[in-house]
This record gives sequence, structure tokens and C-alpha cells, in this order.
Amino acid sequence: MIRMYGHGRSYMHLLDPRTKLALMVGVSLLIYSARPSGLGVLLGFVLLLSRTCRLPYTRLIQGLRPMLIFFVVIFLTHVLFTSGEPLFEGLPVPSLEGVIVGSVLVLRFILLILYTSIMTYTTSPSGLNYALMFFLRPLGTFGADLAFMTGTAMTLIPGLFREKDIITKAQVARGYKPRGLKGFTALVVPLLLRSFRRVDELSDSLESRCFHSKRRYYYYRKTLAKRDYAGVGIYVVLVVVILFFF
Amino acid sequence: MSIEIRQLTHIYDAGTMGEIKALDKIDLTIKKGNVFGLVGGIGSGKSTLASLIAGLEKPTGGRITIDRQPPCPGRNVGILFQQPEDFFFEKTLFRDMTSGLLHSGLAEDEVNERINSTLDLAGLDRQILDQSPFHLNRGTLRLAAFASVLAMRPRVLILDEPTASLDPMSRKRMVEVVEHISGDITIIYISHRLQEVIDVSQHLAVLDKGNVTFTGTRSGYLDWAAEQYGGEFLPVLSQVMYSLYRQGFDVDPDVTCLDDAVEQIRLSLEKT
Ligand SMILES: Nc1ncnc2c1ncn2[C@@H]1O[C@H](COP(=O)(O)OP(=O)(O)OP(=O)(O)O)[C@@H](O)[C@H]1O
Ligand SMILES: [Mg+2]
Repeated sequence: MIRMYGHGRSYMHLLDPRTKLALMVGVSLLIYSARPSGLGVLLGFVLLLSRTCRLPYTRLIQGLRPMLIFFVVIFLTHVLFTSGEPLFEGLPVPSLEGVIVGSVLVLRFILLILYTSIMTYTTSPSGLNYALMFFLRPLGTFGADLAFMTGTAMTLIPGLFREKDIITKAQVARGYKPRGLKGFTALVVPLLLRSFRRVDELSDSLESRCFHSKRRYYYYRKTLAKRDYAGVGIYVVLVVVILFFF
Repeated sequence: MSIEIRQLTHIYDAGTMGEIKALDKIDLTIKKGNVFGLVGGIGSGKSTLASLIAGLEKPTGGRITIDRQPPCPGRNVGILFQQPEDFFFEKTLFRDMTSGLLHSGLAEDEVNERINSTLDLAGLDRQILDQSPFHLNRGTLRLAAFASVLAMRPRVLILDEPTASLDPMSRKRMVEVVEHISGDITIIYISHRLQEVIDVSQHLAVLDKGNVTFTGTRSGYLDWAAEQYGGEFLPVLSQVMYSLYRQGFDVDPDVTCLDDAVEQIRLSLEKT
């Protein structure tokens, strides 16, 4: 999800990161409160968004893969623990209600991830960080630290994935299979080693440039553009449509 | 053993707005038993090409064959990545070097034999096998990583900046080992150090933004580079020889060995 940022100049790319973050929160609320038919509209809309920012559906769906087990667990819990009209004669579970409730909940999570993917795909880590910083301002230094930490983590993560790629390849070239416990250690130990070294270098370089957590490090201010207001407008329309018509 | 690369294209993140065309329809033929130097600026696609030849990644388009076979990592081709000394993780160097080989299904005797012979090749003391990889110095570890790839007995070996961030002594040893083993196996040598590449390789190719801008013999390369940049990036020795040659001295501008150069200059001075 996080490593997905792809540079571009689509409408979604050009939206102010603050608008996108705020809308993301808004859309999450909508996903949380919409009825099942409304979820269908939201699904259609996210596919449309993916089209406009030229994110292929395959990549969009790839973002769901790491969460697969989570979905299965949620679904099964609901199927097994919701009582109601039994699907099979004589067995208390699974019940029809359980299957429905489980599916709808899984769909809500899927939507949440799909929308987040669109946001991370169209917003650079530094843009996201700036938006976070902006909204955390009321928290003072603590907010700044929080934003700085997440921002730093987010910039380091894509590198981590690339590193993981290289290490896997290098170990395969030495005869290790990327499977099993051995394959796992062969990947994780070098990955940790390299990451620690990188973090160490980063903190050294911050220190050598007189970084102190007490100060503010974000100076640029941008005013919102017309498209940001248009984005909010589209969101309002979406809310009205989903809450009143579906 | 020749490597044929035809119309090879590789695009990262294809189909998205952030796609990067790392290689653009390149053609190359790399002959058997040579050291083939690959040079080019940062981000010109060298490592991408290396990964593709090593069969560790599927190209977006085009074809690579090694002796008419597709590349298969650990079988017909081996690769040493940048900074390979980070890839050790076992308690002792011995276990690290052997378990990969055991993993790939070799018998124990065979593995021991291979480890010992490749350590000899790399000029390393067998005693370091009992030490922890985390306690060895970088140069030794780099050579050990090299040996551990060599032990897979690849017929094509790709070295991606094998001497980067090494001290001059370790670098010299690395180059010596490369020269020593070449002939038996085909080596593709990637480096930003022109002097080194020119020293070790008989053939070279230059990549620029995913395109091959030159491919040919070492002396062909020296001529090409002299014409292209006035030899600005060439090793000092080549620059001196070119300069003398242009001023009418009877010397071969393509000599790369200091002794030969001195001898030629002496002869040409005697003649005049
Ligand atoms: N895993 C990857 N994902 C996306 N883009 C990549 C990836 N690896 C390389 N690239 C990009 O592909 C292009 C070629 O990179 P490559 O690493 O092959 O160059 P290089 O010639 O090896 O450079 P260097 O001299 O820095 O090692 C660069 O623009 C790089 O940013
Ligand atoms: Mg490289």
C-alpha cells in the first residue's frame, strides 16, 4: 500500500495532499456508515478514480493481498458466531445473517484499503507528511514529532522493499531458496543489518545538520486551488447520493 | 558459451504513470570466455541488465539466451550484487557458504571440495571459514561472497561493481582474482572505474539511458571514447598515449599497461 506512489499529473495527483487526507477521512466515515447498496456505489467510484489516475486494476488489487488472512478471519468469525436462520438443516452455523454481515464487513475493509491505495498512489510521501503535519498542528511539538516520524518511516519503506528484492535475488544466486525458515533468515538478517545501517546513517546526517526535535521544519504553505474545492464538492455529492438514494 | 541479447526492453512499474524505461530495445552479443566490461552513468540500466541476464527478473520484452538456453540463476549463470558482504547471516562463514550449496541439492563432499577450491581461487585462507562473517573485514568478506557465488560453478558470472567501496589493496586482489578465473568462465564486469574495466576486459559496451551507445573491443572503445569526449574520462595513461600519438610520436595509443607504454615511448624516442 505504502510503496505504491507513482509520479503523475492526473487530477488526483494534483489535488492538495491536505485535501486528499481530509477527504480520505471523510470517505472512511462514509464507508463506515453506508448501506450495502451504497458500498456498491463506493466500489464503482474507486474503480473510476483508479482509471483517472491510470493505476491499473491489477496493481490496485495487489494492495489487498497482504490483508487476505485478515479478511478470511473476519469473515469466518462472523459466519461462525452470528446466530440466525441456519443455511444447512440441523446445524446452528453458518447462518444466512452471518454470511451477509461477514461479507459486508469484509467489503467495507476492502473499500477502505482501495481508497487508501489510491491516495498513497497519487500522493508522494513528503506530500502526505506535509498534510499530516498540517492537521497535527494543534498538538504542538508532539504533533510535529509524530508527523516527522511517520514521514521518515514512509520515505524509508520503499527503499526497504527494493532492498528486500535485491537481497532475495542475491541469496537465490547463492543457492538459497526463498522459502522455509532458512530462506526467511537469509532474507531477514541482511535486511535488518542494512536497515539499521541506513537508519544510523540517517540519524547521523540529521544530527550533523543540526536537527532538533524542538523546532519546526515545515515552512512551505500552499493555498488551496479551485480543484480542491471541486474535490470537496464531488465528495459532498457522493455523500448525498449514498446516504439518501441508496 | 555466448550470450545473445535481442531487442531487450525492461520497464519498471509498467502501465503506471511512474513507469521507468530502464532498457530500450538493446542488442548485444557477449562472446565466450572473455571479460566483458559494462560501463555507463548512474541509472543507465547496468544493474537492470545484470539482473535480466542473471535470470532473476523477467524482461518486459525481448530475449536473452546463454548458449541458446534461457538464463537460470544458480545453473548457467551467477551474479555478485553490489555490497554482497551484507548478505551473510550464519554463525560461521563455513555454514554460510555451504548451506546455500546444500540447499541446491549437492552432496556434502562435493560442497566441501567446491568451497575449498574456490577459497583457493579467491586467494583466501581456509582458516577464515571458522570465523563469524560479522567479524571479518569488508575486503575479505567481499572476496568470500565472491567465492560463494563462484562455488555455484556458473559458466557466466556477472559482477556488479565488485570493487566499489573497497580499499586499494582489496581492490587489487579482487581484480587479480577476476583476471585469474576469466578464460574458464564468461565474466560481465560492471564498474564506474574506467581504468579497472579497461584493465580487465577485452570487450566493452557502453549504456546510456537504457541504450547501447558503443560495443566493441577494448581498443575500439579507447578510440570511440577519445573521439566522443576527447578522452577526458579515460585513464591518465591512455590520455598521455593519445596525446603523444596525436603529436606524431610513433606509439600505439591503445596500450593499457604501464611497462609497455614506457617501452614504446623509449623506442619512439630512439627513432627520432
Ligand atoms: N526495482 C526498481 N524499481 C523501479 N525502478 C528501478 C528499480 N531498479 C532500478 N530502477 C530504475 O531503473 C533505472 C536504471 O537503474 P539501474 O539500477 O539499472 O542503473 P545502473 O546503471 O545500475 O545505475 P548505478 O550506476 O547507480 O548502479 C534507474 O532510473 C532506476 O531508478
Ligand atoms: Mg547499478
